[in-house]
Amino acid sequence: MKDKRKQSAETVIPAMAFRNIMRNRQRTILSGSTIALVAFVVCLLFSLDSGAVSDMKNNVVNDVTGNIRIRTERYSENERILPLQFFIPATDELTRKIESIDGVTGTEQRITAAASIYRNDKIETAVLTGVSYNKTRLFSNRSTLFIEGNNTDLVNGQKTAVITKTLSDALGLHAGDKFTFFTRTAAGGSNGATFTVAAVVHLGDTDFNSMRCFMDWRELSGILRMDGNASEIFVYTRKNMSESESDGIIQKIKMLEKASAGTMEMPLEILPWKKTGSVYALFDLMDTIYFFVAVVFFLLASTVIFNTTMMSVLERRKEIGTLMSLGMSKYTVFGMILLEIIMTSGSAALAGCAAGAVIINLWYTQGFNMYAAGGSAVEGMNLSAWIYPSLAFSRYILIFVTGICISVAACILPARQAMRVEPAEALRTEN
Amino acid sequence: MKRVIAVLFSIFTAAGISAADIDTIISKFEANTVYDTVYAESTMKTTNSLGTAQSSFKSWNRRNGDTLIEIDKGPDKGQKILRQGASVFLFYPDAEEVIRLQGSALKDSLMGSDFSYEDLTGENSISDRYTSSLAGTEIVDGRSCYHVLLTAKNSRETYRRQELWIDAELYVSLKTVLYSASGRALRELHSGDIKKVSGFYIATKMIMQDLLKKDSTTVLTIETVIINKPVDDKIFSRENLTW
Repeated sequence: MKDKRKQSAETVIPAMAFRNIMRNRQRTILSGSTIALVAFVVCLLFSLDSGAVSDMKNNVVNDVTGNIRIRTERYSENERILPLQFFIPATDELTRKIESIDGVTGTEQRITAAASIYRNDKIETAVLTGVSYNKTRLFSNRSTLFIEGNNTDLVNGQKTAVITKTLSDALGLHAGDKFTFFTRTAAGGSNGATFTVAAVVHLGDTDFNSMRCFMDWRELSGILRMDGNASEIFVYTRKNMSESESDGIIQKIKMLEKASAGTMEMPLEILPWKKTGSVYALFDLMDTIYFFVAVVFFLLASTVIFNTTMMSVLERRKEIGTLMSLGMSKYTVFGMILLEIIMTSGSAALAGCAAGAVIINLWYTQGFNMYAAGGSAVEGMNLSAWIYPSLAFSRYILIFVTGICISVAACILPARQAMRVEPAEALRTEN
Repeated sequence: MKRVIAVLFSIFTAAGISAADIDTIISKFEANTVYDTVYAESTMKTTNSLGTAQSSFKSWNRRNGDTLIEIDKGPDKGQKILRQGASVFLFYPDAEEVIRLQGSALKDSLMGSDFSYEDLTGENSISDRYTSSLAGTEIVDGRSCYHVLLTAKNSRETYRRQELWIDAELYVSLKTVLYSASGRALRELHSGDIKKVSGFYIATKMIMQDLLKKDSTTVLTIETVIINKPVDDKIFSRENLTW
């Protein structure tokens, strides 16, 4: 008999909860749309965060450090003044040896120097970046745009340069034009040279779009009296390499340094990319920060649910009293109220996530213009102008579950209020 | 006792020379240091945090301040520097254009040394550009010197104030301190190894210290010097730079 009653309650309660939801549709729509909106916004926020962080990671690794960055310790100590004299001795030999280490997929030599670019009696200061045209990943970013010239025009061993649109505009330089620059050398003197513009670019990594000029690092090394050496070596490793495997490669490079102790007059600094800048270490923290932002959003939305549920409970005091006088336990009443919330918030969160998924998919294929959305505020963090937001399925689940849990938590108080209804007292009231 | 006599002697000597008229001192100094033309072959050794760099160069200078420097040895070999009036033109072998520097750029280091473009090029005459006063007499490197203060007449001068210690007998500056407009000492020059060439006393060894740099010194040694031998005007032309 008890089992039968229990079975009928199991089917009747959800039905009653559903009926209650539909009874005051406006209120349900208000509660549901709040949760749906928050779930939708949080999905977009998470996808932008995920897209931006993944973009920054890629840009830092591809353009700024490699998976492992090698410099001399003294270069790092004095980086602010671009100390060219502290170059990596025997760069070529070291690079060759590093490339033979298992797990290393490539290397890139890099030089950064300040220069004055001279054209028609006008002098502009710019940053010269020595790269290897056939190795650098700077120009292969999905958002990089060759405004004049193209990738195939870039040949190592020639006095050709790639300039940014900013520099092109400042000096009126175009592909095929020549320009002369002069710069301080590693020996402390000065030197100058004339180069031909091979291409004008707008780089995907917006940090490189200032007054910059890219050229073959060997040519630049000669001009800067660096004896054919570079200031930095970027080491690229196999994809999805674990931190311990990466540390293993660093140890092997350190062994190479020890073996060449005679030729290496300056101790090297060999670091995985995450340790090269304090900002990069924060990337992993950003997920946690965004999760708390999402929780705050849901908490705000829960105030709406709390209010609507509380109103619903107060309006239905007589009905709840009647149900209780007919034998419904106070725990069943409590469960029924919570079930109403679970149904409302669950369907709303699902709808919000689904709508978010549609927009995210659109962004992923079309791209999202960060600069148009005010992304210039994060300049200096290697963000691309266009990012491609995406969200893992597990994140959708997390947002869905968080939405339901916070809504349920917000409605515990109104549900407890319903439990405390005294049937006799409730039946006496006029409603 | 010997020391007391030496001190008394220097005091009397100093007292004697303090009476000298500043205009006379400056005119005698210029008569010894300002030439119609001068050709020199010099070496320069710079020691600083980067290590030691050595280079050698030839230079031509004429009375109006036009100067040509050709670097023939060292890391900057092949470079040429031409001073014409208030401008400096730089020729780099790898550059197709000649670069023109003006204004504060003349304070920049030449060949990474402690000398600036202004120090090694331009006019030698000071009477037209500076007002002078005598601060007293002092002994520098064991020699009696006039301590002369120079203040620029024109605010465009690279060094707004200079202090010179001019040898009272040879009229060569043995020590010079160069100041910025704010009164900060920028460079200090010590001169020595004085030789008589074509009737002029010239310091063939100069030690320049950039006081804004830590542990940086440049020693300039004049190996060969020819004074007042006519120099072809072409030497000081921009066309000559690219030859």
